[in-house]
Amino acid sequence: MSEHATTTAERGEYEAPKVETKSMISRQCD
Amino acid sequence: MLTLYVGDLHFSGWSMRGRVAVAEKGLPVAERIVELDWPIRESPDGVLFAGDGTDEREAGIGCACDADELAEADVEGILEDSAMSLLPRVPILADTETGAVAGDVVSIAEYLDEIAPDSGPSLMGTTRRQRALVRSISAWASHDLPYLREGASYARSLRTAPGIPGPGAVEQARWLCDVVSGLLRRSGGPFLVGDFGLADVMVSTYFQQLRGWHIGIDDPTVRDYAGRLLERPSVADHIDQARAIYRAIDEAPTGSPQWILRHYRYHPGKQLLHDWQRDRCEQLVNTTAAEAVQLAYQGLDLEQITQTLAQTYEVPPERVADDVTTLFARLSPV
Repeated sequence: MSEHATTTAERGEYEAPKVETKSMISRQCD
Repeated sequence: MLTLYVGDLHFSGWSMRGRVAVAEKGLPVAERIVELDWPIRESPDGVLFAGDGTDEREAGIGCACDADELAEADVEGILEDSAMSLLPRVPILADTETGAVAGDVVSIAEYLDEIAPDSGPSLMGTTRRQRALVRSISAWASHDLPYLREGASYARSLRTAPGIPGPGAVEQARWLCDVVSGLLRRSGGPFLVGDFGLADVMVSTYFQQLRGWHIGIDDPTVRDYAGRLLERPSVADHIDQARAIYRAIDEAPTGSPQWILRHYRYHPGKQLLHDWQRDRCEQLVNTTAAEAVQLAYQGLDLEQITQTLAQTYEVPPERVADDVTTLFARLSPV
């Protein structure tokens, strides 16, 4: 194994990509 | 060496004025963009806030920015000892040679005239009378048109369909045109105090707003002036650059991961995607979401993103394909 290879332990197991929607209050700057 | 700090070109009308003033002088200036409006706090029910919620301390002149973002851009440490670290906003002009920091458009114009009186137009005017007039018009344009800034914003004026301007904005647009008409009559044109100067820079953003929001100009003299102003290279180039972010969306194949992501700004540190047109954010919760987004930014299509993630995690592509499709369907603005 190359010294740059990432092991599963380092990388973690595969998880489905997850996002969370959040509403945002902008500053309304101009 | 001069450095101009500005906000996102498609957000900040104040930054437009700073950029136009600098472009007119034709001096070598490095430009740094301080990204605006990233959230700095979150309410218990998960709503993100870009400001700290204290309206009483919100910038009225210039566009408020996050002090940390500004400090990060200030690699020479010139701003940290200036008033602008206390009053973070853009645009700001900093001179590494003298240590001078000019933190609003009028100050920037005065500084540019001072260091380069013979380069480009005299922004403040060439006589005491002109300078007094330029300062008076600039103060009015800075302070007295808040409805026009809020109800027919510069930021939305760059979009294809900005919406309907607020009634206060329409009234202030009429006021703008009345004042401009009177000034042109007194000066004889072609610009507000005769030759092009800061007074024209100050109103250039407003005339972009009128154009973008389809607010008509009845007076033909003012209409011609608006045309001259918006066609001036310093102004036209800025608008062209500010619209680039919308052209980029149109240039990507509709529905592709790149088309979807071009509807967002991405903040890697916060792991946030911000859809500025819908004012909502997508928090990338896990590593695979961040990796998928990164791969899309590199230009990979859904199949390639699937294959790359499958190889990275040593799992069958079939296990990843639906997840990737679901992710980008969720991020899609339509």
